[in-house]
Amino acid sequence: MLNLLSSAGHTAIMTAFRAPAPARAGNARALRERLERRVRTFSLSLGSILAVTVTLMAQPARAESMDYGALESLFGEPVTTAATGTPQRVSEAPANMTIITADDIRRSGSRNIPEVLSRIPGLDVMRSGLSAYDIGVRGYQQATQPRMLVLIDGRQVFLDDYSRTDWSNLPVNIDDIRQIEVVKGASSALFGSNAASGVINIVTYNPAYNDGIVVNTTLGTQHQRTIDATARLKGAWGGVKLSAGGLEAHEFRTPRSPFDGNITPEHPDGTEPPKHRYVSASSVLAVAENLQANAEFTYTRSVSNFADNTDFNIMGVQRDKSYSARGGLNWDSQFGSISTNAYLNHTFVRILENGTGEIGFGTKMNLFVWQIQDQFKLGTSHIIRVAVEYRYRDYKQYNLETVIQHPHLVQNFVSLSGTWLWQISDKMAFSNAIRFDHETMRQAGEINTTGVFDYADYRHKNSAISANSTLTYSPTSQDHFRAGYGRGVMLPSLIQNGYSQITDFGGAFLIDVEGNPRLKPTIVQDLSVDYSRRVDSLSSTLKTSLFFEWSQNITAPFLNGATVIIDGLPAVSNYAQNVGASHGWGGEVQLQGNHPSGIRWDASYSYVRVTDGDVVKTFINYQGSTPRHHLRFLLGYSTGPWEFDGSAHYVTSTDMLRNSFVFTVPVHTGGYASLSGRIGYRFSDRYTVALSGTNLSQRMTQVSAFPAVERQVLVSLTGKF
Amino acid sequence: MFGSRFSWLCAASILAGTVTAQLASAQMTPNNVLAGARSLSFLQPALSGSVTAAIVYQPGNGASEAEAQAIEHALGNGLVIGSLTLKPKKVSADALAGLAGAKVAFVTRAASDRQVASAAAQRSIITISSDPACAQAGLCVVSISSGPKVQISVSKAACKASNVKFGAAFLMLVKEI
Repeated sequence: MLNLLSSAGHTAIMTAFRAPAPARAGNARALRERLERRVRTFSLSLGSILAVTVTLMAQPARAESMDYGALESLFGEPVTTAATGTPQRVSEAPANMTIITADDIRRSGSRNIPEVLSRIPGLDVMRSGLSAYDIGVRGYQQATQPRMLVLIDGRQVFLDDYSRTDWSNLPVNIDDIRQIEVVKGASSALFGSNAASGVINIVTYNPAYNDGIVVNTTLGTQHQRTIDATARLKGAWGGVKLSAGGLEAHEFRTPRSPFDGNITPEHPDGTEPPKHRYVSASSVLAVAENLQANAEFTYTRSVSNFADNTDFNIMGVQRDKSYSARGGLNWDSQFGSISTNAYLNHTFVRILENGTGEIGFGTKMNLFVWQIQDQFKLGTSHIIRVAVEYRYRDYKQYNLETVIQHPHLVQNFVSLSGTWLWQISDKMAFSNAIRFDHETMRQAGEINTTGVFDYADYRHKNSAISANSTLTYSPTSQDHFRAGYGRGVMLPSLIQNGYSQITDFGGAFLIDVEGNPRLKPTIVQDLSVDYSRRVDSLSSTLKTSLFFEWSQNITAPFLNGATVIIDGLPAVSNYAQNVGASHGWGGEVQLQGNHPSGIRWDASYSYVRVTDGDVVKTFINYQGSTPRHHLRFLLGYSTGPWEFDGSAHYVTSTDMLRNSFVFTVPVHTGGYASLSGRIGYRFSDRYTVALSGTNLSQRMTQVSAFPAVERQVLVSLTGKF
Repeated sequence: MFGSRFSWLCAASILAGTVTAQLASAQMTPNNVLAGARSLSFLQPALSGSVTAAIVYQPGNGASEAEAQAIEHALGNGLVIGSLTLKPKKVSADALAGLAGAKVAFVTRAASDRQVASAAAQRSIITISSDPACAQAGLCVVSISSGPKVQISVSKAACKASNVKFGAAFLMLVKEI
């Protein structure tokens, strides 16, 4: 219908405005008649278009985006598009993936997403403050984690400045999350760069299918106060949603080393209080029977601790602010399911580090993405997805240093991708995905040209290919085998590519910190085998997996380069460099069950061992920063209005490199155990009160190379209307 | 001797169990009825409001009548799925004129034949069965089996005959025949 409408309009307009043939002398009347005819034609066509449009708008229409809730009710299990871009039941998805449901989130008792995700085997959740987290997958733990792409309803919330996710600054109400989809393994072929080792897609409730109001208020230790609210309204015309919320708290007041420089002028003791405010508004409109339009606007700002991987995990404070706007169309057509989507993220980041809080810098970033894709079935056993994407990102920086630079890095990407799913038989399927990215880069700002890199170095092009291939075999409805290969691409961060700063040390010498536009993307490849079995006698599912992963062109933090002369003074250059390779292997075993009596459990063990090349070990030391063993055990019980849930978690030791301002030093963190729990009581159809806590076993727990975390206890009241 | 007899006994038990399970799985269970009704929410255009759901049975066939009874029981006074309410109406395979007014038909195993399929197709009725062979043969639009895992088959031929269309996302999750 869209095609018909647009082609009719296009024809009418072209007909009306096509230049008239040259009028011959004495033929003015004929020309006037021809013009009048064309004006009449145009008027009639415009009238027809308006009439058709009004008629379409007046029809009772049905939204065409995926109704996760209806599909989950139908198939008895969550449905996802995160594995291949096409809808699939989670048990049949050709990837090692976990879906956290809204029930799982509620029972976790957590009011932040990383705490919920810490229950998934294979993920490493590193905490460096009350609301500061980094989430790694299959090892490679580090601050500002670049390997795990994070999206909310398909929109990137991963920040390209350091290549990381600011978990304290997401514009989402945790009570509005339908499911969190976590894919472990390279997923760049579907999601693009930085889904190099995995992807987390947070799916919220679609207002076209779910209405109601949910409000939560939480009070707790560390003077924590949060309030979150979401209102959804749906009708035959679609739906609208409004969410808003915020957090205030005190930072943990645990002992810190001299180089934990999260000090600001206002809080010289290193306890800048974390804050968060967000608001988001979205709408889904059923424009025609099979055509749906959607729009979304978000605003979020936060203050939280920050650990900087470009500077050997130095610690500071970040003040982030982000706006986004998105629009899209979904059309269930005779040519398949066609969707197009465009969004703009504008992010402002202010970093305060280096101990005094007086020294820092700020960045402004824009990310614009436009995507169009078509998914369709060929015959009865092939599903095809083709997609085109354009991506623009830029980075501006301002320093609070003595010599000011004004870099403006601009990068453009064009991508082509495709997915082919072949249902070979009832028991066997073969899925393949491939993506080609082409990047052009330039420096549009003002940089020093007497250092290591100049404008010419920025004017270059890069290309990269990502791929996934998986064979699944299900000999029975209870057994599933998977074997797969993935190739992911991890782009250098904007700061690694485009930073520019010259610091004058009293006129004696300079420090010249530069972005390196010549960095190669890190390529992450993996091989994995998985087996899962539904054990009805235990009301459980057993999942096992093994993987081997290898990374090439790993980028180190800013390292000393050659001494250059700038303005007649010697300057020690510093820039990020590709420093070699690393590989890792490991596996997971998980038994997850839910008995009709109301008892549920989830026991898992995961192992990962990373081996770095010599240079990687010297400058990054992934093999030391990755805990090898994780043990998790969750037990819950529901009876009537009561819910009881508890979890225990044991993690082995790590050695992480950290910047002590003068030297890089390894910081050892011993193995630790932590206990969490929640008791929930639903005292009416609308209201639930819950008492929950994390790190309950001791007053403070050293969970990483950053300051220890404190015990937290929260009381929350949730209303649903 | 004992070992041999025991082996035969085991084999016979497994065979009997398998046959019983196959027969049981072909009967329309309450879960099948629910899954069948839920699959209707993916029709284009969507069904809404109060809709008559015929239950087609073979008179004189005890199994078919029992299955029809079970379906009627599962639908109750009207099964509500979103904005759709399915009202049951039993229709004998001998009197298919009773399909008039229905938009959906649950077809019992013994009643699924070409005559029923043709009568339903003429009236653009969506036919639902728990027998996978029904969709396989193009006699039903949808076949549902719900144990231990919900499996849905959709017959392209039956869809075309009844002029029925499902959404693309739904079709990517089911087995099309």
